[in-house]
Amino acid sequence: MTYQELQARARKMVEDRVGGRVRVLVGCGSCGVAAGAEDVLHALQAEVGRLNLNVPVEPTGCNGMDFKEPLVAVHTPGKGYVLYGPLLVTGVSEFAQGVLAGGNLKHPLAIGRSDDSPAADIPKLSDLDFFRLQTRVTLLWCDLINPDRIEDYIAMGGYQAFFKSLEMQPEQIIAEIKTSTLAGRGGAYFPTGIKWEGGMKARAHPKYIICNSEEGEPSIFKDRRLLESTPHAVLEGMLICARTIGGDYGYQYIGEHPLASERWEHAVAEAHEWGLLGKNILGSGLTFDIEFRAGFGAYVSGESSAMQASIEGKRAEPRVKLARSTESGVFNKPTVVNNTETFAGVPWIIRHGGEWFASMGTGTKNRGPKLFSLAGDIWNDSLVEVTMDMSGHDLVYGVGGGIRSGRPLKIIQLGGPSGGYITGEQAATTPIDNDALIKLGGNLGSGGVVVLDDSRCIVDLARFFMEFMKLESCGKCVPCRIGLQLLHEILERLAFGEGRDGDIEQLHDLGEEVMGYSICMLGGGAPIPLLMYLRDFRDEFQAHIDGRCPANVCLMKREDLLERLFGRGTEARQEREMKAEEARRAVQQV
Amino acid sequence: MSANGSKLDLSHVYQVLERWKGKPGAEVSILEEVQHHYGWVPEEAARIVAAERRVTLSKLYGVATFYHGFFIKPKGKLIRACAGSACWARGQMEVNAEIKRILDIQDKGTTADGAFALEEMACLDACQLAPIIRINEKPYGHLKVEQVAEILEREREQPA
Repeated sequence: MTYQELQARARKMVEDRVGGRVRVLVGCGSCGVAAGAEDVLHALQAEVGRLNLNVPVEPTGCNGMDFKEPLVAVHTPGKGYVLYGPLLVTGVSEFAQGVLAGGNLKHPLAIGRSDDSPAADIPKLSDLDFFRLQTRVTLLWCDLINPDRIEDYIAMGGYQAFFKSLEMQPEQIIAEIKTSTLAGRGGAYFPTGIKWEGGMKARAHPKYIICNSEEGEPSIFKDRRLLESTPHAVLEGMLICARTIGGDYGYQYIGEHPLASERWEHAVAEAHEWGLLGKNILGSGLTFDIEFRAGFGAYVSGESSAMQASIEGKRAEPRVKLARSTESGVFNKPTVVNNTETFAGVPWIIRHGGEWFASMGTGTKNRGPKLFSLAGDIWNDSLVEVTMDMSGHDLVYGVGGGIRSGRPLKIIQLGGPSGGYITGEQAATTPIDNDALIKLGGNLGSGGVVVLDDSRCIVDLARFFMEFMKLESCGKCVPCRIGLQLLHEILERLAFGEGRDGDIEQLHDLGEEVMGYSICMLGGGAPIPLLMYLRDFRDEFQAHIDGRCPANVCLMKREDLLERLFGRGTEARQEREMKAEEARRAVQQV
Repeated sequence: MSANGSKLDLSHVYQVLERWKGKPGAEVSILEEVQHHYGWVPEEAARIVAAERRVTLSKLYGVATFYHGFFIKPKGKLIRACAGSACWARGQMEVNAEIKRILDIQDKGTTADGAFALEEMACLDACQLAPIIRINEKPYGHLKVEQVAEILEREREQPA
């Protein structure tokens, strides 16, 4: 089958289903669902039925505008679309009557229109700072297709890159990926081209391909969004990888993300139906299948060797890597492990060429668009795709919409508890790329961004991160298991106002040791932000030792803080309750 | 034996095993599906899995206690409370503490009456609704500490 035939079939199916009619799409990523999008979807369907309108209402993925959820887009054939939000269930009836039945696209909830929409009195989406500053590639189709319909993806041009790759030699594909300088989006930024070349050159079979969607880090949600919005883009990337390295079998490893898992399994079933997975795919001689594997809430299983152990049915403990995964990975066979976002980027590189991809950004590891999930003390909680030469200031005040409290920016924490950060003073001149972050002593990480204003306490933040890492340590190697525990104890001591002289030095020395001697990057990365904090915010740590918290967060009475952190177990509270109980008994006896 | 003393219907375990037949190393996924059906991983089910998959029960125990998502005791409604840094910035720790205080449990614990279990997770993918908890997947966003008691009370009365 040629691609034209496949696409014609898909287009006909889309045409039969929704063609020539006004169509309503409701953003149903897990972000939207949490905001009530499914209720809005059902309410809209009921309302459209009641008004007897010939308007299909369907779910779509998430366009990243979490702060306006639930999002509803009204598509008019040939006339683009208008985006509305937040549309709550209570407003559905009025919305359907005004916009859908009345045909009046102007509505108080209108956010913007697409470039090709003629509704001139609504601003263009592309003029809003949020979209203007973005370079959307992998997110491009997220809010235009129904994620549960493979034909929507193919009608847009999906799987074209896979067909193209079948006509290319594996060496050609690798050359293209190398030209693009696509670097691993899971946080290590290892060149994908070199990894694939290693996989191709390995001679043992079966060769495995693993898509890493564990994503257990605090405040990051890019991979699951891709799986929820365009699962087929990830699948296409894995197929191209299989074609390139001669892969035999794939694993999709998804963490505790129910909706992403559900949509992924549906996508794989669809791909089987369409002959895009299985034996001798489309007569090309390529045989490839993908198995779904559930991660179950262990952050460390995002580490590639730990993930391989998990796929083998073991505890997710990392191993000392004597050979690269491409030589000896899961089941001791050649294995290529890539992040979800990396796979989702591959079809675009094959479609538009490596040079197009490399033209965005600078350096060797910072090219191409990158997903960032923005959260914290910021107006626009969102998922955005920008080039990595954007400055931290633009990310926060441009795309992010600025700080909620209006206070000055303290830090932009990147990459979660083992990443790095840019301080408020550096933000204007520092790009959010690997080279800049490494120069500052950290690393970019996988794309979580937490923005904090100056009312936040660095010691409290360090304690919070260390607590997470301590709990997530798998316990295999001593530096991580005991070191993180000790670091956490010292930080907790500081928060209680019981710091001692020498604590700062001890944090520093211990941090460096944990970093140097741990087996994997969980222990190796955990002290990175702490060491940076100690360098840049040393006076805050010193203030805690001296018995004050500049931000007035820590150092409250010990039992109050314990209660804030753990909710119970404080002697003071138990004493209070015992007294109250005694008083009650006394009253009853009287 | 299940929590209330009645006999568990273990036929589902065999269905799960049938589906994963011939796929090496799928023990984590099998236990996950078992938990999905029963709400927790009963020892009898684990024994069947161990026998059929030819692994030791101790290995399965090791697996089930390693991943935070598994419960090896019966749990009631699952409260998943966010513990991500964005939620931290908006006061999630106070909310979580209130839950723990009211229910008198810790992270990964089950209440004495078996009605609720608590799991703190790094990210629930709804930072715009922070602070947020999900009770059996039903989200409660923009939570205030004062609302927690009422929500728990309402959830306790509703059947799972």
